Amino acid sequence: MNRSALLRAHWDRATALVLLLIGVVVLVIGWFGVSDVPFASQQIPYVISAGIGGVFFLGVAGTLWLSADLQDEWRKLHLLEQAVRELPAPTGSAAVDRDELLRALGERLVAGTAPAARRTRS
Amino acid sequence: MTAAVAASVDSSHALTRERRDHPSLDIPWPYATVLVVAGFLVVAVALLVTAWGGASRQADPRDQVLWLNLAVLAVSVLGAGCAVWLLVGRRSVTARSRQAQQAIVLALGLDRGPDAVASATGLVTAAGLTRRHHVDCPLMSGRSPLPTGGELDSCGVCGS
Repeated sequence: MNRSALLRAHWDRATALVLLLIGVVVLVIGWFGVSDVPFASQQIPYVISAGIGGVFFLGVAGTLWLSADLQDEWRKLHLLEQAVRELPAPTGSAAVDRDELLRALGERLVAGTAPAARRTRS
Repeated sequence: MTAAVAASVDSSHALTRERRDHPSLDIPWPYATVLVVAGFLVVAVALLVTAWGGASRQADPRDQVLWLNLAVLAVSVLGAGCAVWLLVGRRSVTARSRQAQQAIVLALGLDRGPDAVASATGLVTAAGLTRRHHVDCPLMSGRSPLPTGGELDSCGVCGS
């Protein structure tokens, strides 16, 4: 898989990394800015824009990364549930062959036969 | 390459494949949450920019404290928005996990009693047990039966 496809697939993690980088750069710029001015009245705007602003970027980056993890978990559960629902239902009182069911489930998941779901929000 | 690293790489590739093949699967956040959190974000950015502009126009540090407080409020609003986002997402994933478990229980017929659960050999086991048992074995009493074949050792009590 080439790099652009990887970036498209993991756009949220890529954005989180970019925001993380921006946050660090903004904090460093703020540090140098505060160091270069002698008066507190000139330093406080740096603290607000670069200091608190940098924390702002870092917070959004962390949330985006955790959000990507949640979405992966959600996607995995969705595909699993879909594959399980497509399995043949156990019949009456006949004995259940668990191994057979799990094999069929594994084949469906590996083959990716679960159809693409519609964009629905619960 | 060790097996653990290979497994990790395989898992990473599978994740990327799932994301590529199913880019538009539904998301764990309802529209209302998306709107609310977007609102939090916009308000937080507006407060931060206002605080920055306000502090920049003041020459006396004592007059800047108000704007500094406003910036702290902006970060608090952002934190609240992020917390709402992650909490709602976690709750949705937990609910979906329960649905998937329920689907698996139904697919395996685990909801239809011990007799239905028993495999073709009529044997069962349970979580935490290492041997196979008959459905009516005393050691299965009070446990949720899981179907098993002949791969486990036999029980000394029921002689399965």
